Order: sequence, then structure tokens, then C-alpha cells
Amino acid sequence: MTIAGAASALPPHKYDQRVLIPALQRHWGAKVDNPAFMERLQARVGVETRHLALPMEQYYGLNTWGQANNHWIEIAQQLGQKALCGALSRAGFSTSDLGAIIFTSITGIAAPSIDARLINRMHLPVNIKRIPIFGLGCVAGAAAISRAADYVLAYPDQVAAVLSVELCSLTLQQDDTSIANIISSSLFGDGAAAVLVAGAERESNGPEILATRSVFYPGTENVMGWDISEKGFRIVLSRDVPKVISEHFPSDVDSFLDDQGLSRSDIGAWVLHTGGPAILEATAAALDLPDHALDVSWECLRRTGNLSSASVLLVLEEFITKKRPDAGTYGLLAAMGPGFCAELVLLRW
Amino acid sequence: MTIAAAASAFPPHEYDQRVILSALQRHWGPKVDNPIFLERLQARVGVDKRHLALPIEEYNDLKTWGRANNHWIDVAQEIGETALCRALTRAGVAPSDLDALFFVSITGISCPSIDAKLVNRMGLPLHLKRTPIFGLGCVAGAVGLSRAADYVRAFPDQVAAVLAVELCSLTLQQEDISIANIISSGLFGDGAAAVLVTGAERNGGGPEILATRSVLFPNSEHVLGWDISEKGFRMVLARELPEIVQEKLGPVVDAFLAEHDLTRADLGSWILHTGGPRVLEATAGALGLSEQDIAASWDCLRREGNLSSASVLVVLEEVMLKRRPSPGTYGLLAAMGPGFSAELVLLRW
Repeated sequence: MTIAGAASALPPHKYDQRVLIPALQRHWGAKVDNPAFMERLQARVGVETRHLALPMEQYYGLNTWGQANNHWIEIAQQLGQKALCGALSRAGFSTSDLGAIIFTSITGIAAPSIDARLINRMHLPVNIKRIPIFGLGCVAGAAAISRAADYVLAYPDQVAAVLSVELCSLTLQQDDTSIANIISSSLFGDGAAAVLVAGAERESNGPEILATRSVFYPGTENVMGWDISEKGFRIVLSRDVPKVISEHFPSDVDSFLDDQGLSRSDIGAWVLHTGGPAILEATAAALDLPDHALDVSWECLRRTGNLSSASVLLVLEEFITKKRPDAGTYGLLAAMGPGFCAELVLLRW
Repeated sequence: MTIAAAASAFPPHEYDQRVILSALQRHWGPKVDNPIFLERLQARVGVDKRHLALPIEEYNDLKTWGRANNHWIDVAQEIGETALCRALTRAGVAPSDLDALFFVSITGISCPSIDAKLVNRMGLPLHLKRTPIFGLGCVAGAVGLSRAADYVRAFPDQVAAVLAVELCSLTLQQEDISIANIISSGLFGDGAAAVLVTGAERNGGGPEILATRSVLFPNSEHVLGWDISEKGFRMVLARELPEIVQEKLGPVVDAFLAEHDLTRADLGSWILHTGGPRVLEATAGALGLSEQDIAASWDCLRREGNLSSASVLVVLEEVMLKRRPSPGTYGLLAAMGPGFSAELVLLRW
């Protein structure tokens, strides 16, 4: 099983963080107890630019979750199509090569789902096996790669697509001045990414998927997720997330690698979900990673913000297209998400 | 790959159709142009009784979608746990033996997802591979079964579970007096079903899964689905649905069977999504089936109403427990859903 191609697609509306943060400050104004907090945040979230699903001024007109979700349905199709086309063309596959598609998003919902609509838009095979996932949050991109790998393990002559579209800006809770919401309004961006996973019998020059592992941390339901209501999706984000990662993640990585006869020092490429600065720092410290090991994740965070489930796929794209490790290098792709949980994918270039 | 067990679970609040219909008549009263229509409906939907997620008097207080969805999160865990426990017990599989879980629902959403919450509630394995699916609608139970079969094809020594929980009553649009909503208020019920699929190296005991097929009928996005907004999930149900089923299903089934050197005449068991009377009649018409052939679906419809994705799994349970075909009999399990799409699963008992 190999990763045959990865491609991202970002909406055309790109803004400097120095434009976005003052707009939020103007919007919330006196409602935020401590306006200096937002400025400090600007420096701390590690984000320089973000792409937004809509032109900035249109967000003030989003008065209901229904309106926001209708935009999500439209733009998810546009960006999703673009990302999937990009991945197909990089891998040298045509739409008719696809045996399965796993669509993931945590920022909107549709029935029929986006993958069904893409069959009509892109003329995907009418017999494609569709798996639209909602509920895994930031971990879903990595989890979908694992599930796609399971799929082509069963069908080694087939190709499975992973498509993640996250339009976090459309979930912005305009009336919520909680710290979690202020952080997320500064940190999360919009974008899509597609990854093609090819079975062992298909030609591909991408990294091989050697093994995958899902890990769940019991009793941590409350540290991350959505509070869902007619107002849309309100973020639940506990201060404890970096601590949960520090406590559990290293031993999970070690036991996963150990099962493959490897240790952390054998890993030459860390393909990690961008999260935010606190999470990246906690992960680097917990895993005792060398300086610059997470540079690609930091770079993606700077350019696009946290794209939830799409982030780790963008980091993967960056490795494949611009920072390709030497042949034989082991890589670990990993993301974390609500549950609290993590997904680990062992790669070899 | 075999189906090791199927089990359903229902909320304790069971009502005669006449009780539910008079409550709806009182609620809508003069707003419905023709009150006789509601009475005629009662006779025509083919439903005698239904289970509801909440006591019937509590629905008047569900003023917001957020409240309804919070009930969905609670009740989905309760009856989801019961259904999954029953299926595990029937199959003689311990919770710790479960390797993958496909959770499907189209009537509510949660993050962390219900499958994650069940890991905590039921002590499921921490390395369980979880796939929470939203967006496939009524077809999702059959699709979950197909994807579970793909999974154990890759890992023949493992066990995968499909869990469908549908609490249709919590999506009732109390202000919507469209025909689609009035029909759905008379037709859909609440319930859960779990099915265990075991790999070829495990002793399953139930029918063997020989093959599966997903089909999307192009350019029929508009015939079935949800119109999603802050008011919740409003039913989209086109009048031409039975005609589409009547016209398209036969050729698709025949082509699928032909690939396995079978024809409809070789099949002795039909496990069909209950839909409603018109869809069931159209399905039988399209496939040339007798009333007797689809008696299990009619029975489940009468007893529970249409349970969306869970329906076909409840019919499967009924056939496994009470109408088990003799060994060697070929059977087809099939459901349809938004897209418009169908999923076919070829079984051998």
C-alpha cells in the first residue's frame, strides 16, 4: 500500500492575520473583557495568513447556522473537487480508477453527502464505495488514511481516495466570547486536501504505508469536541489537551513503533497535525524530538492556520512535493482529535 | 466473511399508531388543509405501532434543534449500547474482541461521536478502529455491512461491528405541514440495530457475505435527503421516488447477480429496507417479488415503522432468528438512500 498522491485546495479569499484579528476585535469590541488578550493571541497562535470560505465582509451577513451550512455545502463541493482532481493528476490516475472514497469533515453536514454530489460533478464511478465521516474532528484525516489503507489491503488492485474539507470559518460563533472561541477564531482556517492510497498491485512512487494504529484515551470525552445546537458548532477545547498529549502520546508512539521493530530514533520524517503552538510544542517536548523535526507542521500552521482534519494531509503534501525524504526513510504521520484519541500511520519513503 | 449476529434495541416508549396520529392531529389541527388526510395516512403507511425516543408528551417541549439533538446524543448511547451488547452476546464475542466499529445515523450528530462515547461506556478496546458515518441516510445500514465486510476481508481473523441508531422522532419538524413531513411523521420510528461481521478465519455461524455493490443513480440528488438548517433536519422526499425505484433497481440487481453467475430466480431470501408501502411495493414490482418474499420487511414496518438505516438490519435480525432459510440458500440484502443510491449485499445461508 502506498500514498500515490496528495493535493490541497484553498479558497481564494486569503487574509493576513493582521487583517483578521482587528476585524474580530472590532466585532467583539467591549464584549471581550481584556482586549489586550486578543493582541497577545495574534502573536501566539503562530498563524500569519488564512484562507476563508467567503470574503470577509460576508460573515457579518451569516445570521443563522442554516445559512452557514448551505455555504459549507457549496464550497465543500468546489474545494473538494479541486483537491481530488489535483491528487488524481499528481498520481497519474483518472476518476475511473477510484474504488472507494472516504470523505471527512467536522465543519458541516449534508444528505446526500458531499461525496455523492461529487459523483455527479466529477463523474466518479457510480459504483464507488462512499464513506462520509462526521464526528472524528481533527483526527479524521489521519484516520481516513488508515481506513483507506485497510480498504486497499482487502483490494490490492484498487485505489481509495481520502478527501477532507474543513471550512472552520463557517462555524465561527459570533456571539461567543469564551477563551476557547477566541482562540479558535484566531487559529482555524479553511481548506481541503485529498490523498490517494493505492493497493500493493498498483504502480506508485509515493511512501509505503506499513502499519496504522488507532488509540483512545478513556475518560477524556470532555477535553475536545463540539457543543452542537441550533446555533451551530461551538468549540469545546480544554486547557488540558497539551497535558493529555504529554502524558499519553509518547508511550503510544513507542509501543506502536516497537510492534514494528522500530524506535523513535528510526523516524526521519514527522508528519504531524498542526494543532496549535501549544500542541506542537507539547508534542515535540513529549517525544523529545530534535530541533526542526516539526518545521513542516509549523510552516503549514503559519500559512493556513489549523485546518482540522485537512491539516495533516497538507503537511503530508508538503513532504511529498517539497521536502521528500530519502528513499528508505521511515515517517510517522499522526493526528489527534476528540475522544480524546490519536491515529498513527507508519510510512516508509 | 460471515454475519455472526444481529440484534435490535428500542426505546421503552412504545405507542399505537392511533395514539401518535391523534397527537399529531391535535398538534397540527386546523393548519392541515384536509384533516382527513392524516386519517387516511394512518391506514396507508402500514405501521401499527412505533417506539419513540422520548415519552410522547415531551415532544411539545422540544422547542429547539439543540435540545432535540442533545436527547439524540443521550438516547443513541443507551439503545446503541443495548443493541451492540445483544449482538455481541448472540455471537459469543467479548467486547474486548471487537476490532472495528462502523457507527451510522442520519438523525443526529455528535463530536466526540457515539462510537467514541461507547468505548468509555462499554469498555471497548482502546485500539478499536472507529468510523462514524453521517450522510448516507436509509442506505447506511446496508453500506455499514458492506464496509465491515471489506474490513474483515483485509483482516480475516478479526471482528467488525455495524451499529445503526436512528431516532427519527427527534427530527420531527413541528411547524412543517408539507406532505413530505406529514408522511414522515406517520412513517418513521426510533430504534437501533447492531450486526457483527467476522472474517473468514473466525467461526461466524450466520450467513456468508459473498459480495457487495454500491450504486449511485446519477443526477437524482434532489429526490431524497435532508434540508438542513438551525431548525434541524427537514425531509426532502420527491413524489417520483417509487417510480425511480421501480425503473432503476431491477437492472442494477440483475447486473450484480450476473457477475456471480446468479439470477433473481436463484435467490430464496430477500432482506429489504422497509421504506414505506409505496417504496416496498415498487421494490417488489421492480424485482418481481411476491408478498411472501418480502413478508419480513412488511412485518418490521408494521411493528416499528421505517427506522431509516436501522430498518434493513432489523429485517436481517428477524430473518436470522425467525425465518432462517435452509443452508445453501442465496439471499440479497438491499437498501436505498439519498444520492439517490442503493447498496446490495449477496448472502449465502
